[in-house]
Amino acid sequence: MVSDVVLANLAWATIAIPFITGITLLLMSLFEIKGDKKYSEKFTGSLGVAGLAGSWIVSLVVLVQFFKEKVTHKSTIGHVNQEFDFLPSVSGSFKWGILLDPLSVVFLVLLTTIATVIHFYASEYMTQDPAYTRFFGTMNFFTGSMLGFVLASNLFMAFIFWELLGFSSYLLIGFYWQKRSAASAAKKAFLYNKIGDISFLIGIAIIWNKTLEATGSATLSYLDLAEMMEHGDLRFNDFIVPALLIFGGAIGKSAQFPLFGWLPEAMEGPTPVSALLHSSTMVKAGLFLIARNYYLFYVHADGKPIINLSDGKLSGVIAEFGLNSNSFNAANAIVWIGVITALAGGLMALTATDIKKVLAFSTISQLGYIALAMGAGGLTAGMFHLISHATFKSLLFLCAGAVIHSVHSNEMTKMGGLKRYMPYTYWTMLIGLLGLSGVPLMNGFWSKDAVLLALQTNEEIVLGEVAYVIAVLTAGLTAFYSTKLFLLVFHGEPRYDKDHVHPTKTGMRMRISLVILASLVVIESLWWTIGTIIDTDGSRNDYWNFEYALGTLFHSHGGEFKVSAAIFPTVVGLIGISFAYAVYGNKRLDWMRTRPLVISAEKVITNRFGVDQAILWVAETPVMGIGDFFQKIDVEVIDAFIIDSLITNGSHRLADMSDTFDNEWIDGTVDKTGIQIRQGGYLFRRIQRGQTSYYARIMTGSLATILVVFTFVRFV
Amino acid sequence: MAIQPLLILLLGPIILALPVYILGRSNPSIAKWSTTGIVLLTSLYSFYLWFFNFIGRNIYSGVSGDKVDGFVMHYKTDWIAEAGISFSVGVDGLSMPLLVLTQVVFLVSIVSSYFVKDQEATYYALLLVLLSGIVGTFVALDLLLFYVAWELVLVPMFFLIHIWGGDNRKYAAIKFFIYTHLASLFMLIGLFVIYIEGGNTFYLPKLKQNFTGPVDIQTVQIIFLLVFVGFVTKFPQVPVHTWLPDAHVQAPSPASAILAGLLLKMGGYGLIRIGFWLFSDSTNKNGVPFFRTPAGEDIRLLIAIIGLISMIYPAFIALRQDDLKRMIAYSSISHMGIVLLGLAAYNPMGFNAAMFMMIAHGVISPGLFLLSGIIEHNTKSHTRLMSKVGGLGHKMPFTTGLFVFLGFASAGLPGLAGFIAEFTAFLAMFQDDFLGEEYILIPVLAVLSVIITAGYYLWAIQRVLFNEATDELEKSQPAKWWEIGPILILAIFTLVLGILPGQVWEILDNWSQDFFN
Repeated sequence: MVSDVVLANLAWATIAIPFITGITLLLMSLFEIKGDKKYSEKFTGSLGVAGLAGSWIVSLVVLVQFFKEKVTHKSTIGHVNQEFDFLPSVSGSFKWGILLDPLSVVFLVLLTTIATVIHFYASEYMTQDPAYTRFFGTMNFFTGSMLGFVLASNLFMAFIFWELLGFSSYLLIGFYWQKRSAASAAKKAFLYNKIGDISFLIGIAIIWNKTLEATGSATLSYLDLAEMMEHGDLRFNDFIVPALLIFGGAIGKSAQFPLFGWLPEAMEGPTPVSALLHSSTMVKAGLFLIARNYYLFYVHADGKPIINLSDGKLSGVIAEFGLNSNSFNAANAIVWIGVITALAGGLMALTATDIKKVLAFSTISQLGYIALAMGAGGLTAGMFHLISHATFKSLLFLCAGAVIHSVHSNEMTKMGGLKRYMPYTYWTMLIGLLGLSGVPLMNGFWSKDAVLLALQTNEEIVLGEVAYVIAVLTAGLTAFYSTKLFLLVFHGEPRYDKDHVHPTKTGMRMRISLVILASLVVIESLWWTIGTIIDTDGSRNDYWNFEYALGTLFHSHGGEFKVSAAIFPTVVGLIGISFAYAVYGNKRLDWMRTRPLVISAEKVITNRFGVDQAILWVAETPVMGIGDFFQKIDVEVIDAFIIDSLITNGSHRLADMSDTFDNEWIDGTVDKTGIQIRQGGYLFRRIQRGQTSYYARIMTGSLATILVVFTFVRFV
Repeated sequence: MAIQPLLILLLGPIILALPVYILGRSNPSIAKWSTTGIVLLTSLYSFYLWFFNFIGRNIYSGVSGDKVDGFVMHYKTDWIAEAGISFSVGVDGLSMPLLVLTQVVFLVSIVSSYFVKDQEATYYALLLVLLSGIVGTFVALDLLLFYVAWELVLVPMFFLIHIWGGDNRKYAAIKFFIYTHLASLFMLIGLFVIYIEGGNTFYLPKLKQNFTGPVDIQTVQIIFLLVFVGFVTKFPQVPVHTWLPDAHVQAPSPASAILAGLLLKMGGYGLIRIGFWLFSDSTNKNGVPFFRTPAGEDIRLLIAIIGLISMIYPAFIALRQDDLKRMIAYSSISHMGIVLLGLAAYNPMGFNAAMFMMIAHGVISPGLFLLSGIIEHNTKSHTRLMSKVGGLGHKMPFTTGLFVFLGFASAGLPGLAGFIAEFTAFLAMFQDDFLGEEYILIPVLAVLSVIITAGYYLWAIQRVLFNEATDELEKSQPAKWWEIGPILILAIFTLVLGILPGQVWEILDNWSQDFFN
C-alpha cells in the first residue's frame, strides 16, 4: 500500500530532480565563466542525464503504484490531488498542487522516457561544445518546467510552468546567442508564445471571476472546475469565451495557425533541443492543456465518458443544458484551426529543403491533427496520436541530428547516398518515417486512424466532410514528404562537398539512443496491432487494446477501429509514397517540379502563405509607428508644448505681466502720485516768495475770506 | 522611556549625516565606510523589526499588545499642540514592507556608489538625509510630519542629480524639482482641507475616525483629487511623467535606483494612505462606502483610465528608446500603471497586487538601473545607447546573466516577483464588477500591453547582450564585487519574493482585509 501522500511526494520528486540538477549545472556554468575552469564533460553530462534518468525511474514507480492503487476497477478510476497555499487569501487562494490521474501519469512517463533518451543522445552530440554545462543545465530546467506543467493541479500552477517553459525554450533556442539568427529566433519564439500566454491569462481571469460569482469562493483547480461543470454549478454556456481564450494559449504554444511561424525558426537551437521541443514538451503543452480542460470544450454529464457530440442519446443532455448548435463554437474552432494547421504544415513540409525544417513543418501538421481530433471530441484519439507522434518524431529528429553531425549541413540538397555510411541511422530513420507516414500496422497508422475516425463520426462539426477530406489529403502529403526526405538523404548520388565532408559513422551513445527510440516505435506498433486484432471479438475487457484502455482511463471512448474506414486514408497514403518515389526515386515524374504552376505554388508556400510576413508587418509598422508617435507626443506635445510653451512661456509671460503691473501700475501709481505732489510742490513753491508784504497780503485776504464765510454761514 | 525603534530608523541617519560629512571631508573613505555601516545596521534592524512584529501574526486580529490606533511601534508626542500637530510615527502592514524595502534599496545603492570619487563626503551625507526623508514619509502618522518628510526628500535628490549627474543634469534636476514641488503644493492644499474638514487635527488615525460614517461626498471627492494630483506626479503617470526619464537619464545610477525604487513608491504609498485608507470607512448618507458611490466610482474610473494609459503609452515609447536607462524609466512608468489599476479594482486582491507591485518593482528596477550604470562605466565613450553597445555577453558574462534575469523579472516571468503582482492585478480587475463587467476593455487592454513589455525587453536584451561584441566594449572588464554584489542581492530578493511570496503577501492581505471590513 502506498498512500496518496507518498504518491504525491514521488510526483513532486519527478519535478524537483531535473530542476535541482538543472540549476546546479547552470550555477556550475557560471563558475566556469568566473574561474576559467572547465568541468569535465563526463561529469556534467552524467549529471544532466542522471537528472532525467532519476526522474524517469521515479515516474515509473509513480506509474506502477498509481495503476496498482487507483485503477483497481475500470469504472472507478481514482486520482491523487494534493494542494497547498501559494498566495493565501481569504477570498480564494492560489495554490501549488499535484494532480495525478491517468492523463497526467501517462503523459509523465512518456515525457520522462523520451527526455531521458534525448539527454543521453545529447551527451555525445554536444561534446566539444564550449557551453556543454550550460546546455545540460538549461535542458534539465526545461524538462522540469514541462513536468511541472503536466502534473499541475490547477490553472495557476499550470500557467507558472507554462511561462517557465516559454522562458527556458527562449534560452535553448537562443543557445548559440552569438549568432544573430539564433538570437532573433529565440525572441520570435518567445513573443509568439507570449501572444498565446496573454490569451491564456485572460481566460484564467475570466474563469476565476465566474467561479467566484457562482460559488462565492474562487477556484482554479481542474477537479473543482470539472465537478462544478458536471453538477451544473457552472453553466457550460458561460465558458465558451474562456474556452476559446485557453485554446488561444494552445495556438501559441502548440504552433497552430496563425502562430506557427516560430517553430521552424526554433531549429536554430541544437538538434537535441529540437527533438525534445517537438516530441513531448513545449508544443505538446498546448494540446495537453486542452485535454486537461476538456470540460470547457465538451458537455459532460453524469460522470459518463466525454461525450462524442454526435452520439444520439446526448441530444437530451444538450437540450437540458439549453444548448443550441451555436454553442459548439469552441470545439468547432479547434477542429477548423487544426485542419488548417495540418494542411498548411503539410504543404510547407513539402517545399522545405532544410532537413530539420521539413521535420518542423511536419510537426506543425501533426499538431494540427491532434488538435482537430481533440476538437472533434476525440480526447483519446488526440492523446493516442500525441503519444505515437512523440515517439517517432523524437526518433526522427535524433536521426536528423546524426545526419547533420555527419555531413555538417542542414540542406538536403547537400546530402544523398548516406545509406552506405550510416546504416544505423538509415534503418532507424526508416522506422520513424514509416510511423510518420502511417504505413499500415505502424503506430502512426493506428493513431491517425483514430483521429480521422473521431472527425468522421462527429456530426456537429461545421462542414465536417470537407474537414475530413482535407485531413485525409494531409495524410497523403505526410507520406509524400516523408518519402522525399528519405530518398534525398540516404539514396541517390552524394551531393555533398566530397573534398571536405567525410560522412562518419554515428557515435556509440547516439546509436544506442536511436535504437532505443526505434524499438519503442516498433513496440508500440506491435502492441497496438496485436491489441486491435485480439480485440475483434468485442468483449474488450482487457487492456491489450491500447486505444480502448486509454479511452477508459480518460473517461472517454476509443478503440472503434473499422477496416472500412481505414481503407481510404491508407490508399491516399500509399499514393503519396509512390508519387514521391516517382518524383525523387526513379525520377519518372521529375519534370513536374519545373512546371510554372508548381513553382509559383512553391513560392507561396515557402513564404508561409504570407502569415509570418503579416505578423512581422504588424510588429514593425503599426506597433513601431505607434511607439514613434507616442514618443513624439512626449517630446513635442507634453514637453515642448505643455511644459515649455504653456508652462514655461506662460510663467515667463506671467512674470512679464507682473513686472509690467509692478512697474506701470503699482510703481506707476506711486510715481505718478509723487510726480503730482512734486508738481503741486512747484505750484505751491511759487507762493513761498519770502516777501513779508506778500505774506501780509495773503494773510489779510485769507482772514477776510474766513470772516466772510463764517458770517455768511451764521446768517444763512 | 523605552527605545523607540522607528525613531532610530527615522532620526538616526539624519543626525549621523553631519558627523559623516565632517569626518569625510578630511578622509573620504571614512564617509564611504561609515555610511555603509550605518545603513547595514539600519537594514538589519528593520529586518529584525519586521520578523519580530509581523511574521506569523496578524496585527488586526486578536490582541496584539503593542498596537496603538491600529499601528505597531507607535510613538506619539505633542509638537505644536495648539494647532493639533503631533510628532507621531507608526507602521502597519502597508508601510512596514516599504520600510524594509527602503533599507535594502539604500544599502545596495550605497555599495554601488563606490565609483563616486568627487565630493564623497557630501554625497554620502546627502544620501543619509535622503534616507531619513524617505523613512519619514513611510512612518509618519501626522500629516504635517508627512509633508515635511516628503519635501525633505526633494532637496538631497535635487543635489544628487545636479552635482553628480550627466551632461544635461541641471535641466533634469530643475525639471524634477519643479514638477514634484508644484504637485506637492496641490497636495498641501488637500492636506489643509483634510485638516479643516477632519476636526482640526493632523493625526492620521484620528482623522480616519473623523471621516468614518456619513460624510459630504463632494468634499471627499475634492480632497481626493487634490492629493491625487500631488501623488500621481511623484508616481509618475501620464501626462505628468516627463520629468522621470530625464531625471533617470541624468542621475548617477545609484540615485536612479533610489529614484525608481523608492521615490515612486512614496507617491503610491501616499495615494493608498491618504487617498484610500483615510476614506475607507467614509460613506454617503445611505451608508454606501465612498468608493462605491457614483462619485467614488467616477474616481476609480479616472484612476483606471490613467493607469491604463500609463501602462500602454510608455510601453510603446520604451519600444523606441535607444538609451537603456530611458527605456527602463519608461518601463517603470508602465509598471506603476499596474499599481493604479490594482487600486482601481478596489478589492483585497487588487490592493494586495498594487502593494506587491510596489515592492516587486522596488527590487527589480533598481537592479536594472544599476546594471545600466555598469554598462555605462565599461564602455569606451561611456554610453548606454543600445545602437552602440552590443555583444556584452562576450565580455561581461555575469552582468549579462543578471540583465537577462532582471529583464525577464520586469517583463513578468513566473517564479519572480513581478509576475505575482501582475497576475493578481489582472485577476483583481476582472473580478471587480465595475471594471470587469462595465469597462471590460480596460483590463483586456492592460493585459495585452504585456506583449509590448516583453517586446522591448527582448529587443534590448538581443541588441545589448547578444550578437558580436562591438568595439565600444574593448576595454571593458568583468564587473567588480561592489558592482555585481548589490545587484545579486536584489536578484535574490526578486527570486525569493517570486517563489515564496506567502510571507509578504499575508501581511498585505491582512492589511487589505482589514481595509475592506
